[in-house]
Amino acid sequence: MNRKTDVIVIGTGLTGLTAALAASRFGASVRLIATGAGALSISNGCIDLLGYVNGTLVEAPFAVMENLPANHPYRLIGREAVGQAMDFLQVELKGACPLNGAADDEGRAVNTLLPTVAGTLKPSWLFPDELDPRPLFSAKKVLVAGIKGLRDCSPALVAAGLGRQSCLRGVDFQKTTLPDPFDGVHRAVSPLDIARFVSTDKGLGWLLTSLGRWAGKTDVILLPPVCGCAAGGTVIKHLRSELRCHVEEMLSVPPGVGGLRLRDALRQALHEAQIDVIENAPCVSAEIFDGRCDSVTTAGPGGQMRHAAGTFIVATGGILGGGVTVTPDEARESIFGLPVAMPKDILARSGEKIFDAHPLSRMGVGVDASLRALDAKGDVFCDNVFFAGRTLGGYDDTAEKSGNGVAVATGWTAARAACGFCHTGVSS
Amino acid sequence: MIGPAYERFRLLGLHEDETLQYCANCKNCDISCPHNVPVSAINMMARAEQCRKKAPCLRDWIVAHGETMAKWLTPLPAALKNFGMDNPLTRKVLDKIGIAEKSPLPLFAPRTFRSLVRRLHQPANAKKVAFFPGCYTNIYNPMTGIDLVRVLNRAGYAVEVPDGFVCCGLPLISNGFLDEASANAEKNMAVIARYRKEGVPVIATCPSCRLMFIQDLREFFPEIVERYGEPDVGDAMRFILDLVETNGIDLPPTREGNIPHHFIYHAPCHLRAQGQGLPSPELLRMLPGVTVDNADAGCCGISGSYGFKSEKYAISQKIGEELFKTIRENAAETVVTECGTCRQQIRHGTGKDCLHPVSVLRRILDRG
Ligand SMILES: Cc1cc2nc3c(=O)[nH]c(=O)nc-3n(C[C@H](O)[C@H](O)[C@H](O)COP(=O)(O)OP(=O)(O)OC[C@H]3O[C@@H](n4cnc5c(N)ncnc54)[C@H](O)[C@@H]3O)c2cc1C
Repeated sequence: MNRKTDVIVIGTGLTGLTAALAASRFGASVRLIATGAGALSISNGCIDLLGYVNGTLVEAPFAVMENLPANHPYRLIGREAVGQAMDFLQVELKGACPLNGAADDEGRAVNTLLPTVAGTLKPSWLFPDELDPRPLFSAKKVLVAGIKGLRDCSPALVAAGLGRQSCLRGVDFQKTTLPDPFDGVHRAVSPLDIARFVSTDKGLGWLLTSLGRWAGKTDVILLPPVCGCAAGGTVIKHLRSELRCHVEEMLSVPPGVGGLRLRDALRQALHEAQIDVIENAPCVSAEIFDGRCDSVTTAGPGGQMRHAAGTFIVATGGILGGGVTVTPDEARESIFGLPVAMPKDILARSGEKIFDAHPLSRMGVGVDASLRALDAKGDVFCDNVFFAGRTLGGYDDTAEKSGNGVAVATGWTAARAACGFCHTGVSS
Repeated sequence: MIGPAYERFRLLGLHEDETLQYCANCKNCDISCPHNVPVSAINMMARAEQCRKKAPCLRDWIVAHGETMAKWLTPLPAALKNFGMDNPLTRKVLDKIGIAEKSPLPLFAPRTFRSLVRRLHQPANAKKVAFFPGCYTNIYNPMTGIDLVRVLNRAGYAVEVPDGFVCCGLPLISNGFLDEASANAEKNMAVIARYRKEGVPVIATCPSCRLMFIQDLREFFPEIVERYGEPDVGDAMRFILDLVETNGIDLPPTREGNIPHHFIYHAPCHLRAQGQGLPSPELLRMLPGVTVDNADAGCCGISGSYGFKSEKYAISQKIGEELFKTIRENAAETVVTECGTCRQQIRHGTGKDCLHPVSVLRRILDRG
């Protein structure tokens, strides 16, 4: 048995990292139990809060949260908590990986639109400097740059797609393909390979030389996410000043690089807060007495181990992350075996169109306002266990564009609840 | 492209990807994968298959057979062996066959751990624990083993070092000598099974040896595991931590005048991969006056025999760069880490002194 801590967080996706850091800031001793790296490490590092409600583009997420269904995580914890969580993340990352948001003409915080390598625009809430899209929307000339050997970014596709967007009407899109940075390799190159190269002096030199002839000749350069591996925007700032224009990364298919930067910054914050991380230790069961969880058991390659704590935060992700286990007949939360409602009819589990909403995406653990799981009868299942992030039901992160938003908001709220702070959520 | 991504091409019978030789078997891929894909095992099995087709070179034989070579050289005094191995001329010759001239080869200790421990006087009628010393402790750094014995003697244990234990087989597997690794596994498992029957715990101070038993054996030689039962080798530092927590060992009291000690700790990849946390910093922090910073700066780059190889030396130093920088910039003069070759590499990369945590523990316990 491991020594007892105040709070144990299970899962090191964005939810677990946020929850662990927040719990530590609330004064608790924290241990983080991890297996696998989480979706953040392959995604883009922007925080989508709420981009669409019922298919309609959202401009100001906080203004429409009350229109969400009553069991949506934002409704349960209340928009005040959501706002506090966003502030928390911004303050924590101010030094290592500053995140910005957009504002409208009256200074009201609003969603912004981020360009993707598919030539689409995605609504998002907070973004790191590399993704700052604001100059794009007043640009006259935009250069879309692909890279030879990098298959997942076609300048022609991007230019055609963005050219059709009403907010970019009239923009002169130019296209270029930068030379192969590796002079031909025997396998497909990913943005992460190139970002690692650009983190070196030689790689940065290659990027600057390749883009050199466009210096000062365009308003914005759009690149796949290749501007270095470290958070903090050093490379992108350097590019902007050398090329005398705005340079910006597009969102990409995995690996998105930006997520890794954000993850490293959060891991560094956890390290500085001296939070114990137990790696490669899947949590397999929990020991519960009289409605309270005493400990959880992990089973890494080294064998089983029990970890006792005062409270537990479960941030194990959804079906993809492993927090919810699905068989053809039923779905259950993976550690505590809590029932997860699933349509009986297989066809009713997915929607008609692949990029639209799917009932399957809304599946997850049902919780009360302090994120404690409810059992089949609707009673609180365990007093001191809190659920957060993609393991929760009631939202469709892909259709809503709310993935990292729910992760941060519920991670922070679970930490506050776990640390015994009074619940203040109101779903006004 | 290696790991599972290449496996499908292998299954199609396409020829092997050259970069497979550059996998260091550090197991960070296993740590990162959320779906339990045994990435490192896939690589090592593919490499063994390659070696079956084309015999490994002399250099790979040498770095895989530290134990055998030490046996051959036993009659020679350590000073002569070390002079023989570590003089500029030999290093040039070794470099020719692929052992990097600048790489930090470990030096032979004057006497092996096995020969030293035989002469130690241990408590009679004590509880028993069996120790798997591993090649590094036995050949190059016996002090780690002696310190472990003395710490456990304090807790009323007598430590047995079974003659039947041989090299765990990890360097054999990493260099493609799967058959020999299997023979070693057979010998070791027979000993482990005997102790299990007697109810005597078996422990190891080297994280890589332990990982070999608890994870790799199961992946490579499931039939041996089936025959002898679970390869239950415990982590020595976890064993001691458990003793401390059940009051089996008394720690010195905190009082005024405790000498302050400041260490920086490096967690070996093969310890992190075990999924049981980091018992050593936890234990050392319980000692009066001790502060331990966790370097938390990734792999040191040596990965057993990897960093000794000419074509990999530079890569290995580059992998360790971040860790070396963190250690150099830290005020602590002494680095603490469980793995012998990590210590070798860190000394080489930082110039700082490196100890196994059990040695630190013993020094502080002895001082009282
Ligand atoms: C490719 C991709 C791109 C995305 N892009 C964006 C984006 O640009 N913006 C955005 O806002 N959202 C995005 N999302 C959605 C968003 O990333 C996720 O909704 C969010 O990160 C979920 O975080 P989480 O921590 O709750 O879950 P996860 O990231 O799934 O993390 C769960 C963690 O728990 C671990 N775990 C599971 N079971 C156990 C166990 N038993 N014991 C210990 N650990 C366990 C898992 O291994 C994993 O590390 C993207 C998602 C994907 C997959």
